Amino acid sequence: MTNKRIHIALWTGAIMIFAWAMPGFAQNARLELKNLEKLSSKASEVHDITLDGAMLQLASKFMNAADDPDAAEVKDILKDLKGIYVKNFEFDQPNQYSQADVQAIRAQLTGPGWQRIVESRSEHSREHDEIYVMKQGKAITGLAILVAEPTELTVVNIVGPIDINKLAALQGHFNIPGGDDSSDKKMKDQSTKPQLQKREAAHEPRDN
Amino acid sequence: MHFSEDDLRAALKRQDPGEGFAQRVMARVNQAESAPEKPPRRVWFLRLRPALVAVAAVLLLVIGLVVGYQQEQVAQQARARKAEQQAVLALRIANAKLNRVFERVNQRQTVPKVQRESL
Repeated sequence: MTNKRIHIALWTGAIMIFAWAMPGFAQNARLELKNLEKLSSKASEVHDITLDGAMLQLASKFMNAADDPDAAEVKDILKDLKGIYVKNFEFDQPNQYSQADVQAIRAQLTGPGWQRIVESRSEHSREHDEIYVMKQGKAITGLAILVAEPTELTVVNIVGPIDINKLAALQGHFNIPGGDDSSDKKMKDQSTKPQLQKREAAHEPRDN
Repeated sequence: MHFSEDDLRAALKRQDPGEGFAQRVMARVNQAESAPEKPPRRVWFLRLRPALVAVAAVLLLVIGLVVGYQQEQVAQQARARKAEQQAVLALRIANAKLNRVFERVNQRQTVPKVQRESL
């Protein structure tokens, strides 16, 4: 009888410890971007955005979605997100950031769960762009966009379920144009925007 | 001013209080003893003082809570507005970069195809 009680107590303890430790094993789509903070002093323009789930909920709570369909669209994207983290540095001169800075981010994206769906590398323009997603089953639970140009470095990390098609289709909505430089303006041309499904189907398997 | 000794003597000269002085004094004394003692004067609002203090305290508390709540609401709205602006900016950057990468990939895929066709 005493042995039985001891067994029950041990099993209960083991189950409790397992339940407590489970969230730690869950894949987290949040990237550690602190190593990029040192670039702020070198950059001519910095956009550093850190919005956790609570702040996103607060932001969407005050969005007037009833009267504004664009706001409703943004609110729809934000509603289930657990965080948006953006670091965008624009430099006056090239070579202000090192490959080690980018590699520190890329190394995190080689972790379990992450999958590279798009890569574009140009030796001519010395630009290396990558899009990674974290999937749980078929659902995307995280997104990372890494755009490394000679005079600009951008890391976008979205944590939580995100519809990439909706995000890509946001341009023009809620004062979200495609950007202000010439290349970004081209994005407004819907005819040049490929469909994500095709891209996902055609993407190469990850090489890392 | 100088007083002479005669002046002082004249001023301090004994004077007769008059007939029945003693009776008048005794009558006044008796009257004072026999008169009922007046209750101490108390202003009406002093009697209500504890209640007034309590009402004032509750009023102050309510006003404080209302003002505090309003200030918290204003601060929360300001935080929400800032968060909203940041969220929109973040989505704008994400959207721009996402489309930029897609466009570059698209260009890479279409250019060789056009070249092949021209051949």
